[in-house]
Amino acid sequence: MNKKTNEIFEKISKDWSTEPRIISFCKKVTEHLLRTSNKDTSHLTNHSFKKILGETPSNEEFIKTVRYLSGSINIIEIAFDFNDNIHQPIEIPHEEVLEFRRTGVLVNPNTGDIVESPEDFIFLFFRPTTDFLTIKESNAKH
Amino acid sequence: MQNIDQMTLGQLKEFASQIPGAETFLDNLFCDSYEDFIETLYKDLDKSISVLEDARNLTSNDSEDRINADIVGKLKCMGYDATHDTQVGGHCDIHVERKNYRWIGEAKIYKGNSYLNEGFLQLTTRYTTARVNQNQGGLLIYIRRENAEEIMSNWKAEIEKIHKNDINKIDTDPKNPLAFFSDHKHKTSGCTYRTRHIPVMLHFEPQDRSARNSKGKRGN
Repeated sequence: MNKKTNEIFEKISKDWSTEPRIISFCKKVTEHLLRTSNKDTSHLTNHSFKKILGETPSNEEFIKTVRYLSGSINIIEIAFDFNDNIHQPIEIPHEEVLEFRRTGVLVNPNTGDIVESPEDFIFLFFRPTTDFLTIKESNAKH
Repeated sequence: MQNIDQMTLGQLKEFASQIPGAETFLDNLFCDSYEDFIETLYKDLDKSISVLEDARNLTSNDSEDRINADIVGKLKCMGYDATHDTQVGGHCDIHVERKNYRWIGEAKIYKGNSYLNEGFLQLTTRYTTARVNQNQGGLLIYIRRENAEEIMSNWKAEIEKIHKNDINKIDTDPKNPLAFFSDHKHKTSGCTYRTRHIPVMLHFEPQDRSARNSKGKRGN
């Protein structure tokens, strides 16, 4: 592990000093991202998290972990898929989801039709940030 | 965690009303303007302050620095780039950044209005310029005395009096009846700077039998 990786682990321990389970969850996810190929970490879901953690966290613990890792520590980012259960899921850029939040209107990227109940077809997934992948790459070189 | 393989936005919204932190997680995810950032930050800051007030039996005598560090720690866990003692024209108490948005908080243990005014002046003439995306901040008032409502009302009247030439507007805070907002013309930029004046109630003086007994024992 290089200096930056050590700093990440130290920061997690310091920030969550009163919540050991969150420390453990954040470290498990970070370790998984470090040792697994980028291809296999490019689309992590709730199910992937359960597998990585080896247990099922409470909803609150899950939100705390994901919110922290996607915050200023900048380890994971949150992205969105559109899945209408007919076509292959397709990633929707963050800007389009923002636009949908503003207007309430979402166009099906496969058909061009306006989607009814769009929030039921937008799925969250997680992946490492570019910054984290850079740290990972520099880790591999040492 | 509910047995969901991949969460939809709709499910996350449903969680928002049930799980602490989920609402502001969602808000932060879609933060698209400085106003969004401030609104979400204030929800999270209020939550942190409420936790602090709940533990006032343990923390009511903590130093200003200790309380600041506690608030910063809680904001960090919520994903904010929050720091204590950051250098911005001096060492500010609470510094929060996200994207290119910035909010600064100056904290003072209440020792009278002139001391609070020093804090207000530090915030508005030392640490800030009212530059775009940095034109809001907070004065956190740690109150160890009783009757926070009276202290805040007096402070509101005092600030209107002292800064009558610069203050354009005083607004009540719809989320917290004890807090208020002031808008004033910032001397450096000439632009409007909005300050949220936020009480943190740390007064702890229980009057029940257990408290009387332990006071009696200490007196012996």
